[in-house]
Amino acid sequence: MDFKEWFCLNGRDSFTIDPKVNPDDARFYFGREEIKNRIKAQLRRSFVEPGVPKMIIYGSFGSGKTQTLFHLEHYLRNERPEACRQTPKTLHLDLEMHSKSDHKGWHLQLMETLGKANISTWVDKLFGRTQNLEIELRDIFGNVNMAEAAKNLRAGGDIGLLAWRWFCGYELKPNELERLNVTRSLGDLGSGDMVNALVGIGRLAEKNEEKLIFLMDEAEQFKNVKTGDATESLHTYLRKLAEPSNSSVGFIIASYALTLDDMAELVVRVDVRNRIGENNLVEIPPLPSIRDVQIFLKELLAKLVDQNKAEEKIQNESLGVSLETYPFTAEAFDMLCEFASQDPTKALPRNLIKAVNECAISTWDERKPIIEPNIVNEIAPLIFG
Amino acid sequence: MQVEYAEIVSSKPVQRFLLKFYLSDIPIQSLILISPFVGNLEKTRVTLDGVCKKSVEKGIPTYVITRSPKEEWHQQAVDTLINYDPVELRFNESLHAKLYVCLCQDESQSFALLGSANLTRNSIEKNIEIAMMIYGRGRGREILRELSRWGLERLRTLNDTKLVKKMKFKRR
Repeated sequence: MDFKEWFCLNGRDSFTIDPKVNPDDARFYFGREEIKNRIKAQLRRSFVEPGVPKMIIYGSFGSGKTQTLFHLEHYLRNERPEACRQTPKTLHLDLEMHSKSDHKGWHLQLMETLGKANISTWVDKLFGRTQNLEIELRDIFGNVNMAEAAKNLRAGGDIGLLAWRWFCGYELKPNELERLNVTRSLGDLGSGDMVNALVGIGRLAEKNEEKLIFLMDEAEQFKNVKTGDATESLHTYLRKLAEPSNSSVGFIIASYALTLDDMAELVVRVDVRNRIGENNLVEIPPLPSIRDVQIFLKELLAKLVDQNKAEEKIQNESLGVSLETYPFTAEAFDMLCEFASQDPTKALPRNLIKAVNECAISTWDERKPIIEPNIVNEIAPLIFG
Repeated sequence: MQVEYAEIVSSKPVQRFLLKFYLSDIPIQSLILISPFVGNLEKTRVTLDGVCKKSVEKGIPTYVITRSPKEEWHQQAVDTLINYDPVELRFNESLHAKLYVCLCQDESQSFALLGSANLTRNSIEKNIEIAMMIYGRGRGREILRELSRWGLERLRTLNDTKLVKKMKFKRR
């Protein structure tokens, strides 16, 4: 019998959840009803006004920011809010910033995440529906150069690639600009122009019944930027995206930060905060009380353990534990919750999941059927001590 | 733009990994050392003892999986590991993989080394080795998570992986 059978795991090798490894794990959001409902309500409102979510979430390492991003994506895809008329097109990226990174680098990351194929498919579909693609694209982008470049995305080979490079913000040579029939490179006018292009792509997506939403993790990376000009250009890029007039490109940004002041200053400067609204700055805190820890763990066990198999095992082997806390004895379970709650800053989902896993592995080492208090007493101080 | 999350290391890959671990001053969550053969690494830049001392000093849970020793030098390394509280030691006789993972509190700082090199002085000084260093940035993060999950969960819970020494921590 292997580890997963030993603990009646539900089609998984361990008690770990990680939507990056198992996309299905995005459905889980244990024990945080209040914060979950608050964020979802905020998301629903955002589709009414300004039309897309513009949100910043923050918390300590292991607080569940990445899980929150994946869970919100799962929510948007499976329970689309009524006010969202298009299908949410969610795109994940882990931000990468270096000391000299500026708006061009950020724009490029967003464009690469979006991908040429998505945009050219949207232009293609529009072509199939419209009498005059050029006029339609000018209407969407509100800019002749952008419309020309978008039109050229349909072309294969060199021209299509040039058009893509133009949208990514690369500096093109004069003869390349001429071939695209555009008068300048996209980045020539600064970060505002790049945001306009992105918002135009968002409108193109809307014309194709999709709503573009970027889920950006690791925004603490903005702190790596050391150059003043680069910081300002990134700030302007974000401020422009946050403008109420942008109703086509949504974003949820996640950052490591214990408090708002802890975040990269360019992200939480007052002009950005005013534009996205204070309600859209959401802290993902540790689990605040022992009760929250209990709920988190019980929900986790209920989902990760095959309830039928566990019940059968408890009965057949007369284990004398309740299904609610299996594979922990009631005493071991309470002990773990107490350990986890002693220092509220450590009552984090990542730590709790690690504690469950480690307790289970130690129990498995001894080939015991259930996790007893002595195991918790051994493992919990290592994680919460 | 190129996202740099992996790098080929052909010169003393194990030493490169250990140095990065040893010299790092960022908070480290755990260290995983998986190698069929382990030596004390004496007269190299970072000895096994040095690694263990850092684990003690910083309270870093350190998971070591190796084969049971047949040679004296391997036994000596096992004796070293047994002396340190934050080290968990397991034996698996079928082990052929060589994987080293350093998981940091800030995941983007985590790194792993996967390749041909054992945790021995020969692998540092004599053998021709090649390995891939993977960083917890961009797409590297998923690879790193998979590797650490394999090491920390899958390999540790295999039926033929035997626990030799438990980790001990003093309660604060």
